[in-house]
Amino acid sequence: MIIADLDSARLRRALAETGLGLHIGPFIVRLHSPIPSVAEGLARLYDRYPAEIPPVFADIHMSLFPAGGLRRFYRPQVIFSNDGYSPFKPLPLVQAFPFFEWSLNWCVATHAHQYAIIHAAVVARAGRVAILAGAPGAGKSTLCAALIQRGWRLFSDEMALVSLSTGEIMPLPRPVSLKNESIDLIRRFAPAAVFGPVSADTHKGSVAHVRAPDDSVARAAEPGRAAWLLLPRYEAGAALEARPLGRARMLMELAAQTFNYHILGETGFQVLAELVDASACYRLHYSRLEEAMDFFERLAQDCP
Amino acid sequence: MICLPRLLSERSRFGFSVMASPSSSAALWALDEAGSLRLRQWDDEAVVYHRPSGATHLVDEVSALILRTLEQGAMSLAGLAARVGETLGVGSPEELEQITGERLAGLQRLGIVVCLPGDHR
Repeated sequence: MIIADLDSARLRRALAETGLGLHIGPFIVRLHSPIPSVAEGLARLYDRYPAEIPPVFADIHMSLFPAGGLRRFYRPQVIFSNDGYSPFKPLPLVQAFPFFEWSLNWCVATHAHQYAIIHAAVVARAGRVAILAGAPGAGKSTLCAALIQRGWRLFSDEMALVSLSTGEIMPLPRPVSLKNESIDLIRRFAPAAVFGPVSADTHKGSVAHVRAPDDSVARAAEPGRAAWLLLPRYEAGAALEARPLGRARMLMELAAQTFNYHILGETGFQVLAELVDASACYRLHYSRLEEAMDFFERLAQDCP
Repeated sequence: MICLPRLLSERSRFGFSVMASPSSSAALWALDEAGSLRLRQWDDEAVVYHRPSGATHLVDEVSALILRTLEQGAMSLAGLAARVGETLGVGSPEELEQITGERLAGLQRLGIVVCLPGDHR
């Protein structure tokens, strides 16, 4: 069964009563929420994902519930909890769906230590994976959203999962999160892209999610090997520049962007060392998406 | 170069800790712990994972060579400088000692290497 097999009423009921088991990449997420906008977001952006009602087993347990008391009437809020623990302050109820996305990022980053988890957008072409690492605001997601509209397979918009046992990159294809100017930029670049609702006035500004390509979702169990490691940076007006980066320096950059590097210790170091050893490494400055698309196309063509 | 000796752990017969004060020529340099490092080098740069602290450092090829040499055992500044000279293939003994000493001081600040007083030899 996939989400699209459920009509709206059944999806809402499952989320509100038993919880929904959602298969996302290597994880089964049990999501429990009576909030209509969460169900609507799932129906629009997760319609091709396998689901179970009720979930038999789950790796991650998430609940998103409206705050009680006066908050039911005055500036309603949503509370996230994971296995009964609420790590974040409540947010306005209208941000419930983006809160689900952000909270799921947190759940994966804090629990899935069978992987080195790098803060990165990840795409692939013909089984070869490009990891676009970097700090928030560098332009990773914008590039990622554009690339998946040009035939690159989406592995993840938010994190690279590098298996500690095999060194392979595991897909975690989810909607791509765009902020502020990037939303209109991608709307113009790819008018056919499917967007979820725009949430204004979040702590990140305006946020909207782009639906993952069906093929990427269908191939969520197929891992890949890293071929390219890139540190993208958007610079308004800049001509595209791709500078090769030494592998030692790239390892330091990746370590700084690996959420659980301090937990993995020496194993994390070894995994990142193998990753950079097998990849071409670049710093990529860009402003125009078409130029960037051409660069990635050349990468894919040049690599045997 | 200036050798910054580590504080001796045992108390002296005067009942307080003393700083060792070896002469530079008598001092030996060593890893802070045997087997404490994982080192990977690409081209002229390397990364070092330091097991005791869990820290990862970027170092140049001279520092990487020094660390690989110290993985075999403690060595004097002069011995390390000679090894650096063999690899670089240039430099007077004074220049090589200066280059090596600067790298050792940097590695010491990172807590990766220590300077042992002369009477440890």
